[in-house]
Formats: sequence, C-alpha cells, structure tokens
Amino acid sequence: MANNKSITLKNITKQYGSTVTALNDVSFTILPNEFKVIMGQSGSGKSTFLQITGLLDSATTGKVIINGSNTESLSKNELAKIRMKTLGFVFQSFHLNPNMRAYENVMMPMFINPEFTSKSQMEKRAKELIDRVGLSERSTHYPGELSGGEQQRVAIARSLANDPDFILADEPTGNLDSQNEKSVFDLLKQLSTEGKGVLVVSHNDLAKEYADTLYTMKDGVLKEG
Amino acid sequence: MKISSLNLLVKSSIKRNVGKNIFFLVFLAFAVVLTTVTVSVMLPFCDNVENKLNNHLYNRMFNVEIPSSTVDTAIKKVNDTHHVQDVYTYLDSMSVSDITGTLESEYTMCSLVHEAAPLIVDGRLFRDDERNVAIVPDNIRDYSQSQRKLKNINGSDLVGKQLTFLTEGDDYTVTVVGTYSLSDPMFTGKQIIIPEQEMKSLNDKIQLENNNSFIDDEQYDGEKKSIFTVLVDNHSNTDDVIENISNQGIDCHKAYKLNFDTASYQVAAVILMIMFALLIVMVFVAVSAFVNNHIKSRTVEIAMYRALGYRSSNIFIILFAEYLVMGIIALAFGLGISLIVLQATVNPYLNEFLGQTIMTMTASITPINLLVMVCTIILIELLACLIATKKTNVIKLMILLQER
Ligand SMILES: Nc1ncnc2c1ncn2[C@@H]1O[C@H](COP(=O)(O)OP(=O)(O)OP(=O)(O)O)[C@@H](O)[C@H]1O
Ligand SMILES: [Mg+2]
Repeated sequence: MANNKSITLKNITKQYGSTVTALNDVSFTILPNEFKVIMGQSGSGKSTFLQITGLLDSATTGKVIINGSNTESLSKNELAKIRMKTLGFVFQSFHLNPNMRAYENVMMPMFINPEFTSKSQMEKRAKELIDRVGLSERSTHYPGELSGGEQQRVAIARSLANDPDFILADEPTGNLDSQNEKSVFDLLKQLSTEGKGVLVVSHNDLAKEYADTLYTMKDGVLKEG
Repeated sequence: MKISSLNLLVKSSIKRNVGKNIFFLVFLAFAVVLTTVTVSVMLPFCDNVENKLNNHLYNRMFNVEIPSSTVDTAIKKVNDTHHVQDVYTYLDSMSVSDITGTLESEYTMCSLVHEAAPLIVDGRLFRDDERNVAIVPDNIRDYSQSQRKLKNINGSDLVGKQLTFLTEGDDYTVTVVGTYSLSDPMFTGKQIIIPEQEMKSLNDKIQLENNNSFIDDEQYDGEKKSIFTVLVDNHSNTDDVIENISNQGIDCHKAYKLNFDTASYQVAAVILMIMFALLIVMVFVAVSAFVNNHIKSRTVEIAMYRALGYRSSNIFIILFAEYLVMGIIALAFGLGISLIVLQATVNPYLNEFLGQTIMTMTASITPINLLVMVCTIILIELLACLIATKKTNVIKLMILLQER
C-alpha cells in the first residue's frame, strides 16, 4: 500500500462558515502518468478542490490519502514534508521570487531537502530543469526580465525541483497568451507521459484537448465528463 | 538549511525590501546608540555605588573595646571570626593647632586606617618608617581668628613647608610632603595625616600621662580597656560579624561614618537600571512591530515558502537570519556613533558632575558593554522573529491561488 503512488480524496466536503459549501461530497483519485483536468465556472469550487488536494487547507469532512497515508492524522511538519517531496505546485500568478535568478528560483524547494548536500548539486539540478523547460538561455535572468510564459515555465521547473510524484496546477495559463498557453500545456502533458500525475484546474477550453480524464465542477459537486 | 542557501534567501529578501530595511537599520542604529550610552554609564555607575560607596572601607570597619586583662584571648576570638580581614590597635586622633601661623583653626591629627589609599594630588605619600612628615588636604578651609573670616588655602602651597603643632605640652613639627584629594568621603577636610608609627608614639605618650593622672582619680573604678579596629572583607558581612563578636561578649561600636549622601547615588543607580529595562522593552516593542508589519507585507512570499514545504522552523531561520544581518550592521554603526557621543558629550558631562567626587567615572565601550549590547540585540530579534513566525502559521495558503 505504501508504495502505491496516488492521491485519493474520499467524500470531501468543505464549508466556509455555515452558508457556503464550496465542495460537496467530492471523491477523486489521481495516479502517476495521468493528466486530469477539472473545468467549471467561476466560484464552482475548483481552487478549493486543488488546495485541499495539495494539503494547503483542510477539509471540513472527508479524507485525503496521499501515497497510502491518511493525511488527517499527520502533524504540520509531516504535511510540509509531503508538500516538499510528493507535490509540486503551479499557480496562475507564478509566485516567483523577483530578486532571484531563474535557476535560483528553481533551487528554492531544494534548500530544505536534505537529499541535496551541496550548493553545486542544487545548481546542477536547477540548470537541468531549466533546460528541461526550454529556458537554457534564460537561466540567469531575473523574473522581471522574462515573459509571462517563460516565468510560468520557470515555475514548472521549480515544481519539479524535488522530483515530486504529482503536479497540481491552478489556472496555469490564466495569465498567458494563446501561444504560451499551448507551450505550457504541452510541457505539463509531457511530464505526465514521463510519469508524473498532473492535475490541472482551468477555465481554458484548450485544456480539454490534453486531458486523459476531464471533470466538471458545478456548485461544489465534481462530475466526470 | 545550509548557509549558502540561507545566504541566497537573505540577500534576495533584503534587496526586495530596500526602503523598509534602510528605515529599520536607521532605527536600530539609533536604538543601539541609546542603549549603549545607557549601558556604558549604568555599568560603571553601579560598579562605583557598589564598590566605592557600599563597600567603602568605612562600611567594613568597626571598633571593639576589650578589657586589658583579656586582650590576647579576645583578639584571637575576633581574628578567628569568619569574614574578619584585619584587627589592629585603634589610634585616637587628636585636636591640634599650628603655632607657625600658617594655619589658624583647629585641625585633627591622625593616621590612615589600614588599607586606606588616599588620592595624592600633589607631592607624595610618606613611607611608613618616616618621621615628622605629614600630608594635608589639597584644599584647606581655614578660619582666621584674627581676620574673622574663612580663607581658602591651597594645600600645594604647603608642600615642603614645616608646621609645628602643640600637643599635650610638647611641640611637634612636621614637614608637609604631599596633599590628598578630599573626594573620598572618609576625609573631613580637617585632617593632618601622619604615619601610623608616629601616631602610635603620640598616643602612647598621652596614655602614659592619663594613666598617671588616673592613679589619683577615685571616680575611676573600672578596668582599663583597649580599643581595636576590625576590618571585614565585605560590607554585606559587617553586621553579621558585629553580631557574632557581640555574642561572644565583646563590645562593638560602629565608629566610622561616611561624610557622603550614599542613598541618592543608590537611588540614581536604580533609576538608571529601570531606564535601561524600559529602553529594552521599548526597543523590543518597536522591533516586534516592525517585524510583524514586514511579515504582513510578505504574506504571499511566506505562503509560497509553506506551499513548497518549508516548516515553521525554516521560516524562523530565514527571518532571524535577515534580522541578524541587519542587527549586526546596525550594531556596527550604532557602536561607532556611541563612541563619538560618549567622548563628545557624555564624558565631559560626567567629569563636570562627578569628576571631583569618589564617584568619578568615564563611560566607555568595554568588552562587557559590547557583550551586553550584542546579546540584547540578538535576544530582542530572536524573540521578535519567534513571535512573527508564530503569526505566519495562520496565513491562509489559499492566497496563492488568488489572482493578483
Ligand atoms: N475563504 C473563503 N471564505 C468564504 N468563502 C470562500 C472562501 N474561499 C472560497 N470561498 C467560496 O467558495 C466557493 C468556491 O470558490 P473557489 O475559489 O474554489 O472557486 P473557483 O472555482 O476556483 O473560481 P474561479 O474560477 O473564479 O477561480 C466560492 O463561492 C467562493 O466565494
Ligand atoms: Mg480559482
């Protein structure tokens, strides 16, 4: 069981106060190699779903099981460790550190990973990942010197820093033009074929074309198709 | 987290908030100046109060009166009492007046109590084996009978001169070899000080004359008593020693009184300490407010750290490292400015008010001051960062998913 890589949500409900039910009895599973896309209207609960899946918030009721361990019973530090090792995040607003070069941003998650024992080891890995997202020429640039699409690719490289099993992306193309949208989806798709489980939450119709499985969120209820 | 990683993080975040950080640096340097000046005045001041006033020789001395027949056993008892440092024969001082006409009022001739170290202003101190020498106050207020007014005589003018005093019938001539400062409150301003041996012979002479007269005195029926002076190792033990010795049936008298307002200096020392404590609290509140404000403007950054799996301890280390770097820079600047402030304003002021008293002191940045300052700043920042880190726990990571 422990070796089974998966994220499973069981009967998740999330309420904000007593009036808003953002998620209503949602169950879901994602495995490595899968590319799953969740679409839905604004306010339907997509982001809420992603942040509970990514352990950024806790559910009101229900269970999140990651690689076999029930996250309900874990301490803050154990949750942080799962975020570091198992999950990679990609956000609509990139959230890069504007005062660090591209490759240094990619190194950020490695700083707290004890598997990296030297700075040169981190730099090597960061440069590899920068190459991997096609930005070799831009590795020493600051985010302010990069286009939106390039910044998002740096963010994807950062999400890969500690070689996670799953990539969770919230509106990854929300701030990008159509050409960059495509390159970002291409990249995410490629990652899933190489073994990552990729979960994308998006408004973007283009996402449908990449999805292995498509879901729709409506009023906090998740439906396949 | 490795130092090289921390270095990258700290550099980037100090760059990110240049304006705020410069403001913080200026504030902290200012706080360092205030606290350093306070510490460098407070420490020597309190030290003076404790060592020069509280632990003054006179607060460690008293006399014992012992019947002549039991002197040997009693002295042994006193000597064996815990904390007793020295026991020696008490020498009576005597009232004298100068017949050369140089000094007109009455003076007291005496020797120095053991361990007294008068501050010699002019000339020199006599040696123990010298005869017919004396030191006089550096500033003598002499009342002239003939002119009916007070004259200020500069002690230095008497150095090298001879004075002749009339004692119990005999003339006694001394050469003034030096003057001593009146800053020590054990001196009254009227003391002509001569070597102990000399004083002893004068005392013996008087004793002899008195004894002769006692033989005929029918009212004197008690046993003759000898007086000794006892010196205790520390003022805090004086009362205990007196109690112990009294309990053994020996008469004790607190015969020595300082001619000084010790209490107001003790109060001043306490006020300085309270000021320092308040200053520390104020600096802490300000630093804490600054760090919290800083944290608020960095919620997204910190939420991102958490999303990447940074723990509270990692975030604390990042924050603390940033403030430590700024703290060290502020300390360097603040200490430099403090040095100038101390030399330019504080020390001249201290010299003017305390220079002529036993409390004389200079404020300087000693290794201890430095240590106090470094520890204080580090501790304040440590605490402020701990509190701030605790506050980052409630940051909702959801803000990362909100479009900015
Ligand atoms: N912290 C909160 N407190 C109260 N209500 C919230 C909170 N966060 C989200 N909601 C509500 O929960 C519902 C789902 O919000 P969510 O952000 O998940 O929607 P979304 O599908 O991501 O929308 P969008 O496409 O606009 O990003 C919304 O009605 C929203 O108002
Ligand atoms: Mg959303």
